[in-house]
Amino acid sequence: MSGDPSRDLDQLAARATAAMRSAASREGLHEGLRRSLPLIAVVPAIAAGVAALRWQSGVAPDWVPPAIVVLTALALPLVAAATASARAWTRPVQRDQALGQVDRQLGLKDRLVTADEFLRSGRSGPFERAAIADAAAHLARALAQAVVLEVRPWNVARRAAGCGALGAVALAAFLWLAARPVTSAGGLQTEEVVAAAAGPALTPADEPVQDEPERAVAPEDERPTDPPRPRESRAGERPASAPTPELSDVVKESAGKSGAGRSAGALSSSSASQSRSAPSTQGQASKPSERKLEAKPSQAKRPEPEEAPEPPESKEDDESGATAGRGASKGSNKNPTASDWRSRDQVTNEDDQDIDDDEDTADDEEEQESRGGVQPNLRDRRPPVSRDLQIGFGNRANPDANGRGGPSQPKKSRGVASLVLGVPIPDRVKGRPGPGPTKITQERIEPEGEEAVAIEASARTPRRGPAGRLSSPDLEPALRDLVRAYFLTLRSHEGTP
Amino acid sequence: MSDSLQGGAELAHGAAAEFREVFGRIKAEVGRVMVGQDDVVDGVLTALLAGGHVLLEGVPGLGKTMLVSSLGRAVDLSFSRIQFTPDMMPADVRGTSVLVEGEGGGHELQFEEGPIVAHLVLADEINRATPKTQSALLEAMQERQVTVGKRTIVLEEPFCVMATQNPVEQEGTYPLPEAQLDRFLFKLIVGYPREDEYGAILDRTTGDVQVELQNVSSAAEVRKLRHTARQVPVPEHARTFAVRLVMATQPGSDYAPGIVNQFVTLGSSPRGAQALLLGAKVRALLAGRFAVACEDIRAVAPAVLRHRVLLGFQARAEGVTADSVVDEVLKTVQAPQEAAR
Repeated sequence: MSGDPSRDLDQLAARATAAMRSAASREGLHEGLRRSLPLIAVVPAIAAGVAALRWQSGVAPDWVPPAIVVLTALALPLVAAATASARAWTRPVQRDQALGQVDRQLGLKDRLVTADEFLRSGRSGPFERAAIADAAAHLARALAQAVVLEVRPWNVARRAAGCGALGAVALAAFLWLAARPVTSAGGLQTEEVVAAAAGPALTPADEPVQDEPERAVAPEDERPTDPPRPRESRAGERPASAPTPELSDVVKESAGKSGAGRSAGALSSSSASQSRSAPSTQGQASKPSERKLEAKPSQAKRPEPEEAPEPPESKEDDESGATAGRGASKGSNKNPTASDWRSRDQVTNEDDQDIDDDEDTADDEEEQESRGGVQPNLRDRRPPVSRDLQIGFGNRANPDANGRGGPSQPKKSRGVASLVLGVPIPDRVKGRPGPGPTKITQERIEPEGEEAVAIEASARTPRRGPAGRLSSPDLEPALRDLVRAYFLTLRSHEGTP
Repeated sequence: MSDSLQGGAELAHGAAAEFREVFGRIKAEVGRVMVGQDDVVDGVLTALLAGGHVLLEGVPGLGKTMLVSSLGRAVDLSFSRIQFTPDMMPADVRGTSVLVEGEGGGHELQFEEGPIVAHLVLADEINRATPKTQSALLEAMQERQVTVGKRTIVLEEPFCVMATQNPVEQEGTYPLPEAQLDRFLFKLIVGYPREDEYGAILDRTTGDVQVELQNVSSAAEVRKLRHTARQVPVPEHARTFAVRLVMATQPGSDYAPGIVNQFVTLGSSPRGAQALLLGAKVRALLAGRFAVACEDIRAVAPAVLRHRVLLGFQARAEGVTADSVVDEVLKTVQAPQEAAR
């Protein structure tokens, strides 16, 4: 401690910078290693892949010594980690960052950074000086303590173990491939090729030759269900079947083609389904495919010479199958010029039509039932709205009061009503202390009885038909969830104060 | 260490010590009536000494009104209370001219000041008044003056409006407009007292002994403390941090975290940055420091920013609050010296 805050801060900043660089370098090493560890597995895997390709193409697979592969797999992560560490070391550390690190470590609440800034900026107010003096009091403690930075613990062991295991497997694969003998161009081992070439000579003389016609006919239940066999097993079978010169043309032609072993019916159905399932290849693209599909059954039927040409029904089937993929232009729609969009336009929703029809029928039935064609529909029969301006009978409540003027309270008189005879005029203004005299002019009329024709009520049944389309606004799912969440939140907050 | 440095610092040391002493005195006197709620009392006193206004929000019965009235009595300030109701008019707040009879028998118009002309104004249930009446406070809170007709009344310092509002009874209330909210330095949330505080509250309020508060400070002293607080310097890194915090509440800015861009409609204005620094200055003095630190800004940020962040409909639907947004902003934004290694 020199006693000069500026110099002490310089010293502290230098120490903190070195510590931060060291920590950053360690973290860079760790991070670089963690990221490049997969190279331990990738390098042997690449070596094994290249070896496999070379072996496939008949070139010697041991293209690189295994020791080189191992060394590269181990060295590359180390190089990458070292590069990352060096890059972190050379990254510049700001002075305020270094002092801020010390502040945080000692809990000084930015005292050192602030004092350093005040000293460097030349601000010399009383509070700035007090801040510098305050920081100087803590500088001794800061200089006495080493700058310790938290570095994340290394957690590469598990990753390294995993990558190492993968690398070992890849290395083993590489070594195994490198030890394999060179293969021919077709992927067969040299010995096998030689053995295959010498096959007829090695075939036992008592090998049943009768099997060949059966194979030529291609039994439908065996050939399609045969799983793909490995090369060795096929090579082992070859002395029995492959080298025989009597192998029929049918077998040669059908070998490797899909559907060659199927029956004619299966082929025709498959061709139809293919044409149906490919609507995009309609038009000119479908014709070559039809020709191609028709060719296959003819190949399969060639061994049966007595078979007649295809019947007209099968032709029709093929045609219908072919047109199925062409859409409405040649299918069920009779209009050949109708385009696709036009046919789409003409589509009607049968369900909606049904609902409308039902509703109309139900309404008709209801009308027929209710009035029998003569009586009015009594469904909405209610007493008519009283238009009588008579709002009360003295002190009695108005029996015709319909709530429009409040519950049978006398209303304030209006100009027009006062001119009508028989209308009681309560000369009163609500809320006034002295309302004045009430003048009632009432016409006395003897009550007369009235007779009305009784209307028989008919039994009503509930509505049987559909209620019709109920409007329900369709919200987008996101908006619906949002609204739902909003109301759930509102509801959850209702209980809390 | 140089003597000049020590000599210049003595003034600041003395001012800071006086600041802390007066602050503690007022707080102790208010604490004779107010039980607990230390954070709220600190916030109210901080705002008073920083020269700002406070919005207190809490359910009824938590002592909001009592806190402000106690503060008015503890500090020798002229105190007035305005109970806001929906039928209040701006003239009820600012004052109006009334016709008075002169000595000679004539009549003349005489201006009667409203309750806003006081040092400490308690605007109780401020959200019950219409926006028209609420806006009567705008000029007073920002320009510290009231204009009625052709008359302008300059309000005497210290002038402080402490408003209360109830967060649950929202029927028939008028939420404060943004311009009004922005004028409050702090918005403090008054919560329920702790279990151990209930005993003291019951003893003090149900007993026979009435607590008489003494004047432990004065308006002149408050003015002096305000001046002291404004002298506290703000280093560059702290100022940058405050600016970044305010910018981080503005959707679309460089520092805005995802939650702000998603839920916030309107962020804080530059008044928010001013409030951050003013509150941080007082807090630095109370913490025994002579310059603002980032920690001070962090401490006052929730009270400063929570009412300046306007949330959208989606935030309300998903239960996102302004406090959670401010917390996320505080987690995201770093001070310059805290940049990642």
